[in-house]
Amino acid sequence: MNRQTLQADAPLSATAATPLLSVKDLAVRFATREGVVEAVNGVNFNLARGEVLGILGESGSGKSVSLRAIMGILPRGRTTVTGSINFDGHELLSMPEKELDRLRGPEIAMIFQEPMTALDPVFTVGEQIAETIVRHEGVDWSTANARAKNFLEMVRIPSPERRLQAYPHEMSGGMRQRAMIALALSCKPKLLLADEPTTALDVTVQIQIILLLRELQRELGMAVIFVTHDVGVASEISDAVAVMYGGRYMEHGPAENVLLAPNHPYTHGLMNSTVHGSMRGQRLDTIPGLPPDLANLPKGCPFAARCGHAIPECEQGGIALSAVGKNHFSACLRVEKEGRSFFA
Amino acid sequence: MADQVSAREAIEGPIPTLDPAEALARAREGKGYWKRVWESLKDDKVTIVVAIVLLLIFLAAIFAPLIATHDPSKGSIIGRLKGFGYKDHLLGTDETGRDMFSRLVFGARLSLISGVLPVIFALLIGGSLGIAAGYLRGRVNTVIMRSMDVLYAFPSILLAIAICGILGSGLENTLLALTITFIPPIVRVSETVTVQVRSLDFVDAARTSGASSASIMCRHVLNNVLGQILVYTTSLVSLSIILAAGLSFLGLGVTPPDAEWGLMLNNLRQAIWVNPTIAALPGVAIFITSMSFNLLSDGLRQAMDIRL
Amino acid sequence: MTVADLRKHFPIKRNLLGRTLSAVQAVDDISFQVIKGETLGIVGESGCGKSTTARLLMRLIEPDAGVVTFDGNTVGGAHGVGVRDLYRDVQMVFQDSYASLNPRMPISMSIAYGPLSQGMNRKAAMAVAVKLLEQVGLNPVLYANRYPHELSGGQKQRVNIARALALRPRLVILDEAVSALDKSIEAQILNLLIDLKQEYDLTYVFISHDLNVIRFISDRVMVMYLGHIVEVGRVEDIYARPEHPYTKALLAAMPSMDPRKRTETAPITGDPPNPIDPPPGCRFRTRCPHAAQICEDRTPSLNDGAATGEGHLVACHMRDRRSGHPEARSSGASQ
Repeated sequence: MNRQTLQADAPLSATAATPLLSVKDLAVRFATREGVVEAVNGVNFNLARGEVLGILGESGSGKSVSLRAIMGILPRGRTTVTGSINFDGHELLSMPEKELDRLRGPEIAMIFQEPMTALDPVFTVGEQIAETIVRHEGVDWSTANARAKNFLEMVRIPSPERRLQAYPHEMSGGMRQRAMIALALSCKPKLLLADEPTTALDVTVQIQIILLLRELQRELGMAVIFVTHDVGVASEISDAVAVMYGGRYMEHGPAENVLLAPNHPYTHGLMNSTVHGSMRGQRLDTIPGLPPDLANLPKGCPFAARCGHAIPECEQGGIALSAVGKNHFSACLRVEKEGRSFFA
Repeated sequence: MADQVSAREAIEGPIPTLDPAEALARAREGKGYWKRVWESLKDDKVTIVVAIVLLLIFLAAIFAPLIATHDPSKGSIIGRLKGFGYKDHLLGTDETGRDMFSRLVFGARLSLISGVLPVIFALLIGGSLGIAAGYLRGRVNTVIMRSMDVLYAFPSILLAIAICGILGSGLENTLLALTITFIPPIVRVSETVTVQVRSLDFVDAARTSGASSASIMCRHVLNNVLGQILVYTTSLVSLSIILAAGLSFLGLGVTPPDAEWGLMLNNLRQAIWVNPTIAALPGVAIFITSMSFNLLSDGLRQAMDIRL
Repeated sequence: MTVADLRKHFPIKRNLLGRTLSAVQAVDDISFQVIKGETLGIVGESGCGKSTTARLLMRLIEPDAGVVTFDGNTVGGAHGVGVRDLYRDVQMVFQDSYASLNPRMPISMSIAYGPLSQGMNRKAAMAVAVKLLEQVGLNPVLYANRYPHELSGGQKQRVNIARALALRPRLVILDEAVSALDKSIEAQILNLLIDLKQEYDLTYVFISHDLNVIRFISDRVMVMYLGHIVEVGRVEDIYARPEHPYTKALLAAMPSMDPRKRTETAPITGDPPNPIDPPPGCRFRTRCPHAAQICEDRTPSLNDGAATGEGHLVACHMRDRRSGHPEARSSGASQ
């Protein structure tokens, strides 16, 4: 068995000579009144420069928590983060808060589902963007203001001069999301973390934001990790897709492979139960049961209890990603043992 | 009604049946919620300790004549302001030589009455007004809430002093003044809570079952509102005790020679240089009691999991 | 159920005399029919008035104007059927599965509450509740006495469905009933809804913003934009041959499920405008690539377009040759 080596150097992306981001054995635990919640349980991946990784998962799969762990914004005190997050040669987990602050913004930026939480309601959008530029680049305010205007143009906000003077609450949802993207990109980060930025938007606005992000990503050559629960959104934006469940990567590989020819039973189930295209009149193939309780995770594969292909060994533990194709990895014991996919 | 075709939710497989009578019995127990509150309270040591302390204070007040070692109004010229354990005076004596322990025990009666009764009266009046205002909205709401705003314009202690000043001192007037003082905040809290609960979908859902307004009010609104109002009210008791003590201290509340903690504090004021420990005792009693009510309120809030 | 000229404006600003200065025109003179036994899907973006429509149909809010007829009887008014009677036939499932269950009531009581209110005795009402719990896939032995906070989102929505069915309605309005659920749970609930529809011979009004779900479950689809109906027709007509520019944009904006065939250009730009004091004329014209003068002058009505499919109505001047729109064409004309 070659699991040992695979676990050590995790999935590699095609171009990743030196990955921009390298995450090893990332685990996040929260201490709560009800017990210890194991939100993330050993996530391994590399992200190349300029690569767009879509993390797909349902609520409680650990996708948002992983993202926040990378950004270092999980509540301190009752949270334990273990493993290693290496960003461009810096080990983020052991870095003092002060140095992290120097990275957050110019190197790593984040956008959220609800822009109102990221934008300060008492300052105009222009002031907030200009302030970020001044703080990180040390230019004077008039230069920063001019740059801020350019950024609003870049995110296609109509009449940017006027919008610079607007407060966040005076803008519509789509405009706020654009303003937040402008704010996040104001220092040209190398890595953008996006936490469901289109989920709260209407479908006609969502596609505009996706196209905008795709275009800016290409222009700035930045890497993006895009967390979403929507298969369609993931398919629109990602080069590579990782599917999370119970705090683990279930499958990770090029978007086409994962979404069109899923290897892992969970990915397969997720794709089948997602309503799309012309499926009228059919019964949906559902995944039975409920997602696992993160305060009480099973020892083995978190999906075993709902999996139609589970064998007794699945509940014993030792589930790790193994290669099933070029840059394509799946964390299924049976796939690994039998060396084939069920869904070819 | 029960003769429909059987279930076929493929996922769950065959389903064991439950006798409707048993289901009814179980659901009727309905105390499930309070049982859960109690279970959560049981694990909360602070609240339990505090509740026991309060219980002891209440028992002491009720059985004051049995517990008191001396006549609380009988003084002694020689034994004034003596420390703990002087002769058989457990907690010493006050400025006229009366037994401190007995006075504190008897004082608990008046202090608790003026702490608890106004809040109960205010809860009955203010709670009904607030719930009515929140549930009926419209004109009723405007009239009730605007008149409360008028009362609200005065700081509570000033309002109480003003009312007492007009009516004169005495226990009844203190109670009346405090009740009036506490009505506006209770109305406001109950109104807010009721409006919140009312706007939740389950109230609409109940309306779509064709239930009467009264039934919706009792089964759906009151149920969810009372707990929150109760928790808020508990926190007012400590304020009421302090205010009542304050009124007595100012000479507007209970009249001497009755024992009341606030009044005792006032009388012992001059003795603070002679025997500070004794002078502080009524204050300690007030502190412990009002603190306990506050902690109890916090404990209840947590146990009842109030976060609408 | 027939709906004629239903209107609801929410005043947001009044002058001193109480005259309305501006209002959210949530639903503005809409008329449609729900045919017995069908599933009518109502789709639209936020602020299009679909949820207000649901609440108007349920009389949870009073309409400013319009007539709702259920099974030949007018609802409300002096001679109409009372709201209480309406609720025997029409029920609703709300979006927020948590807020729509009383947190202080065991779920079996929540389900039995309707029959109880309609005068059924306690034992019979509880029997109904137990039966329904079984039918929505919740084992009554385990769940009857639980409280809403002890259930997952999907399970709560199952309880809500059971609650709505407890009065044996003929029409169920589902307002974003699966929107808050995870995909794997959503699929379970959709299957359940389809099964229950067959078993109880139900009619559904299914409201959602999710075009995939609407397509999956509906027989006919009604597309709303800013309080107006812009297009209505059979699901296959709407999805295969959308006529209204808004419907086209909406369908084109759906994310592709295939990473190899990504969307390359956004079908329309901008956000849906604020429903406060919407533009006169066609409300979509501010975002419409085909907007012309006529669109500002006159509001297109649903009957204008002679459309391609049976019962396929479009409210667009382009579909009416006589409208004077420069790009107007008659039905079936090539693009």
